[in-house]
Amino acid sequence: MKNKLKKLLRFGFALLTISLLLTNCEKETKEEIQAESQESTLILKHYSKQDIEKNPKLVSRLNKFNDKLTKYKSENVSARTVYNSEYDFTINTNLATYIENGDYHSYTFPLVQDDDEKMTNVMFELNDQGEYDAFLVKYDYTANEFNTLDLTSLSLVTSMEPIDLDFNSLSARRNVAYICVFTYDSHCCDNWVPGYGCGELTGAAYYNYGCDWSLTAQYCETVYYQEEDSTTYNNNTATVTIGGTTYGGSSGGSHTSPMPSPFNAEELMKINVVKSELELNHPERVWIDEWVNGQYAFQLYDFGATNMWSVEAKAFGKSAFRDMMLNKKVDLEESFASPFNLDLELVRPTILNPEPEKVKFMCIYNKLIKSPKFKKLFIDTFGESENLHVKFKLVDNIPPVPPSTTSPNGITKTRLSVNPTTGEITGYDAVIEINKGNMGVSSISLAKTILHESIHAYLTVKQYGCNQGTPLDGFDDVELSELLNMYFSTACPAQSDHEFMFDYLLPTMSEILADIKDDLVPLSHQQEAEGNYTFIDESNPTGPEIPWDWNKFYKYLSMNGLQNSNAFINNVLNSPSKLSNFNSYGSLGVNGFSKECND
Amino acid sequence: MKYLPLIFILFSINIYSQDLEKIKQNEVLFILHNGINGNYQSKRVWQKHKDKRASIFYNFFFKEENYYSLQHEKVTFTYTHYFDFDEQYKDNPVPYFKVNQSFFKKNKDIIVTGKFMQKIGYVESVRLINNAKTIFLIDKTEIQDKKIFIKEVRYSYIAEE
Repeated sequence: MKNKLKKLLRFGFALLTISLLLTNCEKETKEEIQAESQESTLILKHYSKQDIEKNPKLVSRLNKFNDKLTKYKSENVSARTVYNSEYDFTINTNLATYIENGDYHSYTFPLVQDDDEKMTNVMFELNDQGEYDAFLVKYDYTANEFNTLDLTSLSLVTSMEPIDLDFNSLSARRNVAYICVFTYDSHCCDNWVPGYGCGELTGAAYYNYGCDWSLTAQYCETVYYQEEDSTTYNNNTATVTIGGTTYGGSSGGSHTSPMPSPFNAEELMKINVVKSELELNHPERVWIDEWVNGQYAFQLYDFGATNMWSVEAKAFGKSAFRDMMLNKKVDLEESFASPFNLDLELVRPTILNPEPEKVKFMCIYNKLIKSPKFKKLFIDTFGESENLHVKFKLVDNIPPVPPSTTSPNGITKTRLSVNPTTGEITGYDAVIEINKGNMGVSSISLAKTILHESIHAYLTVKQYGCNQGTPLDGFDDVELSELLNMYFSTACPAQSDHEFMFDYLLPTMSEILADIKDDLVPLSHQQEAEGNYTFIDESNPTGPEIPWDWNKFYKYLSMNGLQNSNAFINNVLNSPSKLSNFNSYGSLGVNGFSKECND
Repeated sequence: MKYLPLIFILFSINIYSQDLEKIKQNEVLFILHNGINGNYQSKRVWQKHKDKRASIFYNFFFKEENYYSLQHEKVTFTYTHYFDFDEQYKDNPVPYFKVNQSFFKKNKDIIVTGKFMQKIGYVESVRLINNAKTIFLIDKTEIQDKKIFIKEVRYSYIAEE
């Protein structure tokens, strides 16, 4: 106990000495900094991942260290051994501060940590053998303090713990640390505008301003952690330069630069929640920890929180996360709400280019995806699948497909690959093209076109993927697949889907159109149609005409696009009364109702 | 005498080409419909039961058979008082105006008749229609007191999907 008190007193005295030294020398230090800065050969650079990767030796060490760190952490967890929080950190390897001073150079990496935590960096510096030594550099201030307080308000006592990169003797090496006093030297970039805080620590965080602090270890003490509560000071055993004199064989003082964590507390919380909820593995965690990928974590967090982290939301989030890792653009809300693992990039208006066709498309599309039936039918098919992708595209014109002489409203181009052994679809890409030249129709008619093309995309999956995709009401998957194959082999080329749609999907399409009718057809237009138009009574064609019937409207509108199928020809084209009603309902449905769509 | 058929064919081609080219140069297409059913034409009036304003479907049938249905190909033009309900609520009716009968004489080489469409065929007719930005139709049964009523119509077709 006595020994412990003695040691504590010695430590306290050392800190007091350092503090007094710093307090007394404040003005002189600044002057010296300016003088030193003019003569200094020290070079400080901000390195991106690309720059860092130019140093293969460092990258190798870094990767090795990260791998070992992960293994170490996972072994600890799996073996239920004592959890060592000392090594529960993640290095942000995407950015570093590079400091060069003659033959010496170091790389300082930030850790992923909270703004309110004491700042810790990992520094790699080149040793005499041309290898990299690594140190955990622990500052006595938080990132918040570093970003807001000035030099005199901060405790500049900093510890440097050597890290055994090979983890061969982790416990032994962890017992040594250097308590150092660094000289803070402001270092400005070449295009720095003078008079903007240069030379003051306040706001000198590397990503905020043009100046950085380069820290040079001027005075260090080695601390041995022989026991948990016992420390011993031992001068001159550290490989650092003190007062210009090199001790322990070091070629010079260590140079580093404080690098705050790129994420604040809230952001860090979001990242951690995403890691946990989506059960990310290590490579995924490393990826999401990268500063540039933080935005994805925040999007995923907001998405998950909005959807209460439901099982469905998690599965979708995980799928979206993998797309993000592959640099695919994902709109979480729209993709989740829509049936597709889809790409709306080509149909989304921008502020700079609010193309009317895109505005109209997106407005109608957003109404369509509100239909529960539409969601139910498709969401499991495309929304949760990694292999099934649908992209929408607006094109200036789609040339007629012979023998037709008119441009189609839309066309669905599919490309798929199937595992011949399992029969599973291993890759499916559908591009749904909507003809801008034919978009001057009513909103509900355009919605029908989008629905029609979406069904094409869905049916291809059901035909080839058998048990992939949402089951269709009334069919089991095998039965549906066989049925579709039968249609494919017997129907006119390009009409097999249409034959199937006519025979089986008109009720489904009608239900979806009914869901969105009130969103796309103004009430006054509905009343106009209901009150002023009559139609042939198909059960009594020569009798009096009968009023508007919305169910018939949905059915006949859904038939638009199916007119070349045998089913249509036999059932409608060859029945004058049905053909007349088809034309009449179609005339109002396509051209009569409003072309406007309001969000 | 033996060259008479050849002379007739050359003469026909000449007349047909000239008319077609002139029509193609116009963004406005004038269509003449008999206004009655028969002779590869039909007209269907869809009467609104309250205000009695009618929508009218004007059909032209071709002798060619449809690739899919084995029925005759047809083109349909639709006349409505308003293009749509939006225009109806703005009270912006479809152009409908009358001209003197001399209009026929002055423009006879650019007025497309059912006979002319039969001559050039379905595909060329559709191409001609698609090329036009505005289509006016003259219904022969609406000619009164040497006045011709011209109304804007819309080419109605069901696009493929």
